[in-house]
Amino acid sequence: MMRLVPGADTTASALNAERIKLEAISQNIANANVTDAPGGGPYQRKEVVFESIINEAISSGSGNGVNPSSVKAKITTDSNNDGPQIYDPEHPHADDAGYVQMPNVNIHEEMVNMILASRSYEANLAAMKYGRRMATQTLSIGR
Amino acid sequence: MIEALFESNNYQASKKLMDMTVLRQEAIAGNLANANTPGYKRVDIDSDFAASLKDALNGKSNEQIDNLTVNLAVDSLAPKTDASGNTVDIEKEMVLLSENQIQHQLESRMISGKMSRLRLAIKGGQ
Repeated sequence: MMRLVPGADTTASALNAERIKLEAISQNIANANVTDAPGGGPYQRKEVVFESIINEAISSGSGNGVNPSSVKAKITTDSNNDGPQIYDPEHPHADDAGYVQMPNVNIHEEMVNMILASRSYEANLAAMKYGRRMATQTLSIGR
Repeated sequence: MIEALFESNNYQASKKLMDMTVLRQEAIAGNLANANTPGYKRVDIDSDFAASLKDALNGKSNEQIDNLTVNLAVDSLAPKTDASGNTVDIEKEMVLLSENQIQHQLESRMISGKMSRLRLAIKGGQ
């Protein structure tokens, strides 16, 4: 395949990964008060971890350098931390002592992560914009 | 006659530097993509490249310029920016990104300039 826009594949993978992260964050916020998730118990927050994948060889010449990496998002469930317990004997999901186990979602943390993810998304969009400008510039050589 | 225009050292170096800016764009895109990947180390053009290009230009040898290879290497001097050991600094990458774009523009204008000089010679300024 002809690589017309440099870095396009890499940027596309990053935009996809950041979108998955944003989806997981909105899922966490939406379920912040769910005390009876499918499978029983309170909702457990989703966590997205990124890992890099080495792209195929693209370097010009001998190709013995390193290659740039794309990124892949992996969704995991955070079951290590428990959410707070709230005393509410009237609640249908309260235990014998009257406590309700809440999900381990911290809204403040989710909001910060959401801003970080959307800023990263913007940075990658800028990379795409510059790559496209370079391709246009190359195509206008000799005009 | 025409060869003289396209075989100058500067023209050959412009072509090489243009290859370099394209590869660098790939590297920066990869760095930005992995800005949140734990333990990722940023990559950039191999630092040997600038020195070997300088050597080749000093030697005024087109062959030497042509044989230069552009490779990426892990930037081992970049400081860690988070606890996981990631070395990507988004602000720095954004600055390099626009710098690289300007350099690409410069090289493509250098190349276009040579061609328009040839066109001028053919048309005699008409």
